[in-house]
Formats: sequence, structure tokens, C-alpha cells
Amino acid sequence: MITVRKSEDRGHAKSGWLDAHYSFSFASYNDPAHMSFRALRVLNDDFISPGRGFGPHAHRDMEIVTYVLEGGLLHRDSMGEEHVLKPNEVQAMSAGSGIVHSEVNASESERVHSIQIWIAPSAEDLEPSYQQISFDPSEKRGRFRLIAGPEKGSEPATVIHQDVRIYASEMKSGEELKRSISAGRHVWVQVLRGDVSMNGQSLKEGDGASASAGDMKMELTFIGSGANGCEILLFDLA
Amino acid sequence: MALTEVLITFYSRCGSTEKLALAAAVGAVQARAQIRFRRLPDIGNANLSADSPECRKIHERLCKEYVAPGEADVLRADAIVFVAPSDFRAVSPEWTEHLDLIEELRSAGKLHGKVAAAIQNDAGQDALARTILRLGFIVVPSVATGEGPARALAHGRRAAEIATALKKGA
Repeated sequence: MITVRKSEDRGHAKSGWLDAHYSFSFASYNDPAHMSFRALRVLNDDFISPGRGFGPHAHRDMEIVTYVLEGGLLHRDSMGEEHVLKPNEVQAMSAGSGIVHSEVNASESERVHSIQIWIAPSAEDLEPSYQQISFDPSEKRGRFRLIAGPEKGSEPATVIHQDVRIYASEMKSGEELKRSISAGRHVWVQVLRGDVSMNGQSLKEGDGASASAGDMKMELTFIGSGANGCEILLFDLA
Repeated sequence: MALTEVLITFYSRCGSTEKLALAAAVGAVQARAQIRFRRLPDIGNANLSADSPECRKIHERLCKEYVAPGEADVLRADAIVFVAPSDFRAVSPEWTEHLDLIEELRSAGKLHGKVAAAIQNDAGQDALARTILRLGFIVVPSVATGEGPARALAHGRRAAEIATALKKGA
């Protein structure tokens, strides 16, 4: 069974510089019915105004994966890392025993559209670390491109401390992609752009959907729809 | 029990003291405290003409990223970690106004039970520590060896640990 988390049902926060939608409870948005899905604790869809952003703040015991759809996000942290994250790049920060970082829009004129993902780690007090990878956009077209997982794959991906694999995929309108979910595993799909059908269930931009494989493996069929197809993130979770 | 709240109050002009403040915050987070940063604002027009272009760029960022500490920040904190440059003077314009606020709160009995720590870059510098000692805090000295961020991290962690222990015992 597929459970849909509709875009408009997500938590919403709008301040002077931030327009954010929260799939799960976050900051002042608290909905006990939507706290997490398996190890996926936070899935935020953020629009950040030019030159603004999140000032220095701390994290502990969390795997934080950031994916930018539009613009550039400047990251600075207490380990001395300073990088701008752009589309088709992935940042993974393991907060572990403690880290302080800031994330601000690197541009004074263009907004940033970013997806921030928090995954609960498999262990506490890990050594904090930072990774950033980039990939060619063609690598996510018509296939599931691994961007984060518990081990290094055949192509560069960030490594996170949890049995979760995150894939990015773009589909043209009418293009079909299949994915098998192993028995006992769970999947969350987030539509980043455009529209898609997931086993016949229509999903639009901003929608999320979850499914669990149970005792048998589950076959998922995605078909891009709408004028410009779609981009999705697929989470394969223990 | 609610998490211990640690307020990191600092003044940095070109980023060196900010690094100490960040390190102290990491130490507090390691001790499972919640942290918030407050940067003392420049008073008047900060004369940056003698500073390097890199310093001016960092200064601009510091002014943008941090807000100034207020009374509410002090009151809600279980511990305050003060971080100052090597040339700290209590009468310097950046510090005077904030220290006056702290003194007012002390006089009103509002700092009772609060922990504080003073961090400067050089372990031999104690001007900031002597200043906060007079303000009625439970002052946590550094026991770490070494200099700079490593010592600041250990000091921030210890301040948070002691504030948590006091909170549990309260």
C-alpha cells in the first residue's frame, strides 16, 4: 500500500527570508502523526532569499544530507570546511559528537532551493565529518543515481552512518522506471520537480509517498508525467 | 530535565575569536547542551580602514550572521561562555554596554546559580576571567592544556558539564 503525504499537508514556515515546507515535524511545526519515517527524521524543502540563511547553529548525532535544486548554498562549519553547494552536488555532514555550521545563500541576487534531509545515525558520538560530491546530471536521467548510502558504491556517493540509500532520478514525461524494494525494507519517495505516477498513484511536485515491502519484495513502477517530466528522491530504508 | 542552555557571547572583528567561540560551542554540544551564539556589536563606526580586505570581508559576514545579546538571552542561559580577543579590556566600547547589563542583572539577583567561563586565545590571559569573577557567576576555570580552539573546546565542554550537574542537583 502506498501512503501519500500531499505537498499542501506538509508543515509550512514562512519568515522574511525562508519559505520552508516540512514533511516531518521540525522547529515550530509539531505534528505527532508526522515525526519521521523509519530513520528519516527530517525532510525540508527550503527556499532561501538572496544573501540570507541559517546562521551558526549546532547539531549532534545526526546525518545531514543536503541537495540543491537551484542556486548555491554556502556552508561553513567548526571543522573549517567552507564550500558552496550547487545543483547536482550532494553534501553529507555527520554531526556525530557535535558540530556547528551555518548555511547561507551564496548569492546576493538569486534564491536557493534546497532539500535538507536528516537521517538518525546507527550510533551516537561518531567522529564529525563532512563530504561533498558532484555528478554529471546525465547520471540521474532515466535511472536511480545513488547520492548517499552506508558504503561507497561503484560511482561517487556520500557515505552515511545508517542503512539508508538515497537516490536521485529524473524522468521525462512518459518515461518508465522500475525499482525493486527488498523484503522487509521501506521506501519514501519525494517529488522534487514535476509530476510522476508511482504504481498508478499520481504524485505532484512536493508530494511524498511511502511504502513497505513486507515479507515479499515490492516492485515499484514510476512514470514521469506533466510537460517536463519530473525529478524525485527515493529513500530505501531498513 | 530540559537540556542545559549555553550562551556563547563573543566579540570578533576578523574571525579569530569567532573560531574560539565555535570551538567552545562544539565542546558544549559534546556535553549535550543546547547552544546559542551572540556577538557583541561594533560600537559606532568600526574603523576598518587599517584592516586587510579579507578581514573586512569576514567582519561584514560576522555583522550579518550574528545578533547582539540581550537581557532575555542572559536570563534563559544556564551557562554563559564569554569569548574575547587577546586585547580584551572591560572598558572597551564593545564590551562595556553588555557588561553593564550583566552588572544590572547581578544587582537584581538574576544571575544566581548561573555558570560562566572566560575564554581568550592565550591561556596566560586572565583579564576576561577576572572581569566575570566580579559579576556573581559560578566561574568555571579551564583545566585544559594547550592553546586556541582545542583549549576553548575543552573549556566550553567543562562549563556545560558543570552547569548540567548544578541543574540536576537544583
